[in-house]
Amino acid sequence: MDNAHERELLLILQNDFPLVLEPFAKVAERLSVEEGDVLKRVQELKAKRVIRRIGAVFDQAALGYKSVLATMCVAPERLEEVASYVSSFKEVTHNYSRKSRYNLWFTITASSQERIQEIVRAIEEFAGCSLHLLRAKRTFKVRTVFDI
Amino acid sequence: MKELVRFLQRDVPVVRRPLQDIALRLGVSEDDVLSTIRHWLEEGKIRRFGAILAHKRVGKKVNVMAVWKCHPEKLEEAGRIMAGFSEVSHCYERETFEGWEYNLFTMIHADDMERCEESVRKMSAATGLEEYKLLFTEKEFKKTSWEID
Repeated sequence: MDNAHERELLLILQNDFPLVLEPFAKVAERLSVEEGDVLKRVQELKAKRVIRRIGAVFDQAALGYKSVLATMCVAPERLEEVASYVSSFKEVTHNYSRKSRYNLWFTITASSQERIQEIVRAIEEFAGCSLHLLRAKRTFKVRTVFDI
Repeated sequence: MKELVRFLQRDVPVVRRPLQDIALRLGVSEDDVLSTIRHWLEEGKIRRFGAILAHKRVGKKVNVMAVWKCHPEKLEEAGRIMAGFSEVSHCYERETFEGWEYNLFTMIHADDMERCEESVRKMSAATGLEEYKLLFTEKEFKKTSWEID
């Protein structure tokens, strides 16, 4: 399989994954190659971390989960410490420091508003400063695929 | 149901029949697993099914969160225009708080910072929004895929 094939393979796997019992055979058929070649190449692409995983991307809200962006203004000397406390919650999926007065930004995804409030209180107590929740009011775009 | 969500959120094995093992573990048939996936896709519970690529490996090396101040009356239009930019992956209207009046959030991905900044200038020109801030990532403390409890 050459590079052009590889790009085609990634496009199919990302945008048009066959929903059948033997998906890689279907992909092989579309690329006019052997199923074994596809399996081998996909395994390589995973080993190289080009493909992070193969599976489903769920809509958290449709599963009944609440997700919210949070930000805090943390004293620079305590940033690392507060950030690692924030990261210790499994409900925190993303956590970054950013160049702004509000220097810590993270997302909390939990099964209830109560759980989110619990986490908020714990973080505020640990950090000794207030946390601001920036709930989404309108979603204009959520994209999970990339141009290759 | 939660069990199946958990399996599908992880990694489906790269084998001839990827759903076989999941079906076996759940004590259901492969066809049941497949039809549930199809059904959840139709319902919108699953946004998409397939390969999740590491975007740093497919070219988009940097990202920036750009936040904008937008008058409520202009929001719908501005949001739609921004969402139309291919370099924008996420676009939301968000709550504000005292001391923070930026209500429109966009996540921009590009090959380098210059291109990110160029996109922001184009977005500003296209929407007429001039008050904005670029929040560059200083450090990534955590980035994980969300998993059901």
